[in-house]
Amino acid sequence: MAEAFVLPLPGRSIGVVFWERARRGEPSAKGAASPTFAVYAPAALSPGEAAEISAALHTALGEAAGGEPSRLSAWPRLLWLALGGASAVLLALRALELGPAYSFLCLLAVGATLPWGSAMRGGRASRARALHAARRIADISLEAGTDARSIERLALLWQHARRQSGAELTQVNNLEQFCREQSWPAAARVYSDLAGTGSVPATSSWRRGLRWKSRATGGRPYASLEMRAWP
Amino acid sequence: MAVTALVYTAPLMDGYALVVPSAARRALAAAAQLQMEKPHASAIAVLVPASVGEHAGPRLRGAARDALRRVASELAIPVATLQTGPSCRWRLGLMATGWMLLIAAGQSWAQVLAGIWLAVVYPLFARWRSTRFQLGWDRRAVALGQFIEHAEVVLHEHAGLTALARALEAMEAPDTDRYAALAAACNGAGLSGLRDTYLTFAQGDASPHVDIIRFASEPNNSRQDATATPEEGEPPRNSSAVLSAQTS
Repeated sequence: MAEAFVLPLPGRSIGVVFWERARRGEPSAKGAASPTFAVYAPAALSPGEAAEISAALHTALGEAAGGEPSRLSAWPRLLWLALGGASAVLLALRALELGPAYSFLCLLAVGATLPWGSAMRGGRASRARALHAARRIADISLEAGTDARSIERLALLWQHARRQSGAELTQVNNLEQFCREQSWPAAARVYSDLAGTGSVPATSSWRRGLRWKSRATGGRPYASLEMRAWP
Repeated sequence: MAVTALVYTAPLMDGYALVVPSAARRALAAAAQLQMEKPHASAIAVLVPASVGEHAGPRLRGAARDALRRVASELAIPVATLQTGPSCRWRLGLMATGWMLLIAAGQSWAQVLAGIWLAVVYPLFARWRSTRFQLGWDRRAVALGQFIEHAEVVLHEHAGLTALARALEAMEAPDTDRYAALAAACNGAGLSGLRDTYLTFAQGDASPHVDIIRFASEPNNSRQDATATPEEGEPPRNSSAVLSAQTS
C-alpha cells in the first residue's frame, strides 16, 4: 500500500514515503491488495525512527484528506460559482451600454463575491486516494521491505553516495543522475525537488532562478522527513 | 497501526526538554484530521535517547501529553477569520450596491438578477460559509482533544537522540558551548527541529521560542524535586516546570 525509502544526502539522509502510487509503471513488491507499509533503509531503524516514518505517512494522508476546516465541498461551490458567475456576466453585459470601463467594474465587483480560493484548490483525486488509504490505517503494518530489486537499488545508491565529495548541490545532482541511470525516476524526482526547493544551497543566482521555476511544477507525490547520517 | 503524534525528548545537561517541533505539530493536526474522517486507534510516540531509564516513563508520559495539549490549543485557533455580514464594510458595500442596482433596474432583468445576487443571495452564501468555517474548526478542536486524551503514550528509543545524548556526555566545555555544539549536530542527527531548542539554551534561555518542559533525569536528585513534572493524571507540582510556551 505504501513504501518508504531512506535515501542518502550529504551529511544526513532523508526518509521518503510514497503512498500515492508515485511509482506508477514500476512493479510493486507486494501488490496493491496487501496493506503493508514496507520500509527500505541501509540498516535497521531504531523504534523512534520507525515511529517518525509512520507519522510521516499519517501526516501525508491527513493533509491530503483534509485541508483547511472551512473547505467547501464540491456541489455548494459549483452552485455558488454558477450563480455568481452568471450574475457577473449579466451585469457586465448590461453595463457595456455605458462603456467597457463600467462593464469591467461590474465584473470586478460581482466577481469578488465568488469563492475563488476554494474553487482553485484542487486535489480531489488525491483526497479520494488519501481517504481510501486512511480507512485502512488500522490494518497496515510497518515492516522491513523485501522487494529484492528495491533493496539492491537502494544499496547501490548508498554505495554511490559514500563515494561522493564536493559541494552539496553537485552531490545531489550526481545522486539524481545516478537514480535516473538506475531507472528509478521516483527517487530521482526527490533529489530534483530537493535541489529545487533550496534545501541544498545553489551555487549561483541564475541557477537559483532556474530552480525556482522548476519548483512551480505542482504537488509532490510523496512525503519526506529528515533523518540522521548513516555510517 | 495506530495514528501517531510525536514528542521529542531533547537531552540537556541536567535533564531533558520535551519539544514538539513544527513537523510534529503538522503530524498532530493531520492525526486529528484522520480522526475526523474515521476514528482510529491513536498513539503518542515519545522519542527518547537510550539513556532515559524506565523510571522516567510515567512522568515522561504525563509531560508529553501536557505538551501536546498546549500545542493542540494553539492548533485549534482558526488561522484566519471569515468576515461576513454587516461587520465587514466591503461586503456591506456590495449589499448596498445590490440594492441600488435593484432600485435603478428599470426594465433590465439582467440588472435585477445581479442586484438580487449582491443584495440577497450572496450574503446568504457568505453566512452559510461562515457557519461551516466555525463548525469545521470546532470539529477540529474536538478531534484534537479526543486524540490526545485517548491516545496511548509509548516511549521509543531514537538513534539520533541517542547520538546527541552521547555527544553531550562526551563534551568538555561550558554549558552554553555544549548546547551550541549540539545545535550544530542536529542536522546530522536528523533532528533539525531541535536546533532552535539548543540555540535557546546556548543563549542561556535568553530568547525561548519553542515549547520546552524541563524534566529532571534522576528520581533521587535534589534538583529534580523543584523541576520535576508530575506523573500522568496528577496536577502540576511546580509552575517552574514549564519554562516557556511561545511559538516561533
